[in-house]
Amino acid sequence: MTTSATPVKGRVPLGALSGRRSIPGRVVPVVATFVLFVLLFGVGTARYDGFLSGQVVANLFIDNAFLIVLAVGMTFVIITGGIDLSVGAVVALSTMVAAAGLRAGLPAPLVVLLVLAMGSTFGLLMGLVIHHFEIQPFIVTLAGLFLARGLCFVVGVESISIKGQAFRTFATAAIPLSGTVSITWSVVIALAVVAVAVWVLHRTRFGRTAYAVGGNENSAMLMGLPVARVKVGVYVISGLCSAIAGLLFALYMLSGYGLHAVGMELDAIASAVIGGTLLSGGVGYLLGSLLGVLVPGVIQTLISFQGTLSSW
Amino acid sequence: MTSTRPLERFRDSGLLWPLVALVVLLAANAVVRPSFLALRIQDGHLYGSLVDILKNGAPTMLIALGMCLVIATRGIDLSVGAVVAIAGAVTCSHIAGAAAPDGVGAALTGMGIALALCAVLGLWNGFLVAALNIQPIIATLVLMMAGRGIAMLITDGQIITVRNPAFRTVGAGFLVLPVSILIAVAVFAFVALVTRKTALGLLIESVGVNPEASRLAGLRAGTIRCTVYVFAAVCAGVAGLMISSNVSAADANNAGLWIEMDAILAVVIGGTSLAGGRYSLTGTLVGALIIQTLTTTVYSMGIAPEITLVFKAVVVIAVCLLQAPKARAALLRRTRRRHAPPNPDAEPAARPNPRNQTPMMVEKVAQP
Amino acid sequence: MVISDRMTVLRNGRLVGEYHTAELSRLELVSLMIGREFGALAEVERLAEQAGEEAATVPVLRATGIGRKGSVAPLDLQINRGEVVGLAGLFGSGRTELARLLFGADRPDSGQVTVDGKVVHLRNPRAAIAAGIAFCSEGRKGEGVVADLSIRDNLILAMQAANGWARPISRKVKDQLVEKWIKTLDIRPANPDALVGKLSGGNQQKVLLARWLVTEPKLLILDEPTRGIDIGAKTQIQKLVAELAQEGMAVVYISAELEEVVRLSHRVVVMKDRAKIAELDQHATVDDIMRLIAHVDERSEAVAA
Repeated sequence: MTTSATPVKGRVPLGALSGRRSIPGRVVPVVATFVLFVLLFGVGTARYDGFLSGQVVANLFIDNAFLIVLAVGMTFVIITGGIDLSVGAVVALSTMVAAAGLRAGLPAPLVVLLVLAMGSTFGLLMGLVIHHFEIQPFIVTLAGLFLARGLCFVVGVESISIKGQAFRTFATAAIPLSGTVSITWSVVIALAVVAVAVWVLHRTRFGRTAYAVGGNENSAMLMGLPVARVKVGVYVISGLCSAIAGLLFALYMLSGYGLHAVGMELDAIASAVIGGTLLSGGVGYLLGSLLGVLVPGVIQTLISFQGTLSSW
Repeated sequence: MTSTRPLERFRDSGLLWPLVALVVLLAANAVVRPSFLALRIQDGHLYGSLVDILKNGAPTMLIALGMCLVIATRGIDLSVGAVVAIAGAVTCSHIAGAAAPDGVGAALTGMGIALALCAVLGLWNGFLVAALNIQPIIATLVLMMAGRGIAMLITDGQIITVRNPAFRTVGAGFLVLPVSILIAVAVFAFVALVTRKTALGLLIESVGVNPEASRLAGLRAGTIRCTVYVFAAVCAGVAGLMISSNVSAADANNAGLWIEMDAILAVVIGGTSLAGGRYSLTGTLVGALIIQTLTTTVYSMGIAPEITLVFKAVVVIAVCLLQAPKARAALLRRTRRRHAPPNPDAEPAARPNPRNQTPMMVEKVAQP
Repeated sequence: MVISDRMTVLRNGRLVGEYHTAELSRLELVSLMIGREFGALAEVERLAEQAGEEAATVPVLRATGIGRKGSVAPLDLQINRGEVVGLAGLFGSGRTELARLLFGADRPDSGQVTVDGKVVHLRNPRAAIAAGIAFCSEGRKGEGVVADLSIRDNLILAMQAANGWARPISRKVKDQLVEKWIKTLDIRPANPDALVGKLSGGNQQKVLLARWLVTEPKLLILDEPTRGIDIGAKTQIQKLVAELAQEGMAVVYISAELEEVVRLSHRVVVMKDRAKIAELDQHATVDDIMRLIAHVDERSEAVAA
């Protein structure tokens, strides 16, 4: 189906199978990141007592739950060859809307729905502009960044703390995994998002099309794939993930503020790239992005262990 | 595509819509506040809102110039904001620690050291991109994140204030016009001259459009890519000197914060595609002026500071939509006021090249 | 011709006619397709033979033991002045890899190359270009032309790169060169400001060729110069190669079309499994080459069995 359009005599596709982009090659960065993760963890274990404990790993997830969700959305966008700079700002806007909504006395489920709808709509609008007007994603989402941050300050200039009792209980509730290890609901939500995303990316037509669009948009279109829907769709996913991440961040900080999550879009991009997703599109794994979040997380943990020790 | 009539050539150059946007912004200002366009001379110095726009926009202009060349080679430099902070920090801490903190010598050596350091930082970016083949956005992200930390180290986390008349000249001095404007214009003239009178412009475009073909044609693609990062960093350094000189202080945290985004916006508004290749220095200059005018407009129109960003986002989207051939075509179809002659170039050809998201935009930009 | 019952011939955007395949010979079809340019192929052959008789034995490039691990097994090669050396072999046989080694596009890790008797280190394309070697890659779009630049800029790119950025070629020289080569190679549209990306494949190939001819190389390496272009441009390019050889240029010619290789070449180097397996003289036929490639196949299969 996709062989060369110009039949050339004497050209036997012997080398066709020995392409440079073989499947194992693509997994190498993910494996490398995993090895790096294990190495860093090993260093921590060797140097500090109590580093190798379930709770350290659990904390890694608790402290980075929102970033994991962001990285998932970002991975989708980058796989199609796009980029989304607005995620950090949408996180801030989500915390702001959630906090303001709760302060206004709206029921929590309604606030959650509102925030999710807002994030998705935001992504949808950017996706439509990117696809239908052929403006570079970098610029559209940069404008989205300005817009979302601006809207934060329209909602309120000051930080709004979240006082709702239900929200607070949910935020601090610990789910014991074993006698000594417990996680929060944020982690559960983040891992659920990862699981759903893995299914969408690898088991559905949408996911395969995303890879195809990132590999070569032109051929994807010629193959009759729904390029438009997928290209817009990934920004909706990214917007939705930003909203979820925003809610998790609100749980984590228990406040809404327009200056929350400044520069977090770069963390998310860095996580995806560390995990082996190519910014040129077409290559990337969600598991890699998850590891991409955890590696800087381990480094942070190492630094904090170092810090507590030296200040002791 | 290549018409001889100057009017058509101007329309094809892609400068039209940015200029229209700039004029509209200026006109809106003049309507709201008639004194906006007034210029007056006092003590041999020129004052007025227009001069202020130029003066405050000088750092963005400089950085955008450097960014323009980087983007032309298919790169991007996110670290310029951090470099701005470092340049200010190095100069101010040198001046503050010098034997004669108000002397010309201290100012000159301080600035010299700062610019040399910026060149080294640019070399580092260029090395990561050209020699190690790391994607530019990631390679420069490293310095963007680490840079402010470096600046904090240099200033010990303090805001260093200095009193040095020589240093103050760079950002706040006057030579009829503010010195910073003169520096920006001089750099622009220098870059325009070098890229047009030598073959550098062609080589940069060639590397941006097709790096591998350029290498096989015998271009030193790596050297060229490296050079533009050094140039961008030095431009950012000069901008950093202006910013810190204007307030006579080095603020490691806030100097040049988000200026890289403004610079990238300026380049794109000016009609240069982020996909690399064809670039427009004049467009970049216009883009930088639009962004600065926007900021000034917000203040002069009394728009609440809370929605400054929203306003900025709206204008940026509007300008980008005006530039996108597809959006323009849709707009024309919608309004249909007068029947414009069908322009075959404006019709987006069915050529959605993923590498080159807006091919029409690239083609429409004339050489600087 | 095997599949269709009827054929519609189009040329330069005009309908030439519609014919029943059974009533149309291959020769007639070609002549319909290229119009009055028919006969050029015959001329190519005549030119090539003529040049062959005069081919000097002055070596332009002599490579001994040149190779690169995992790409080409070490081999010897000599290319003389005014000689067309064909590289034949299946896809993946190492012909392109060898060409890239000779140009320094990939760095050879063994062997020695002399050009005009002087040792040359082929570290990168610049070194090869400085030694007078030119290379048209098989990836015309990806590694050849710079699509978003004009014909003029593409034509002078290699020359400008060799000159260095500080010494721009003057507008006058540029215009002269561009005019000359657009005319010589019949590049269409003949507008120097046209963007190369909008040209047809054949015209892009001509621009690429012209880019190197401007630098007046001693050795011209052509990798699949006729792939994916129309038959008129194919004949033009082959004719040009024959003429260049007659004027004394050494040419390495790679093509999957063995007829082309045989028609043009004075010597044919046969590649197989990333190694040189034979060198044939001017009288080689397509069958000879096929037999060589197939023969080794049989033997290796026999060994395997």
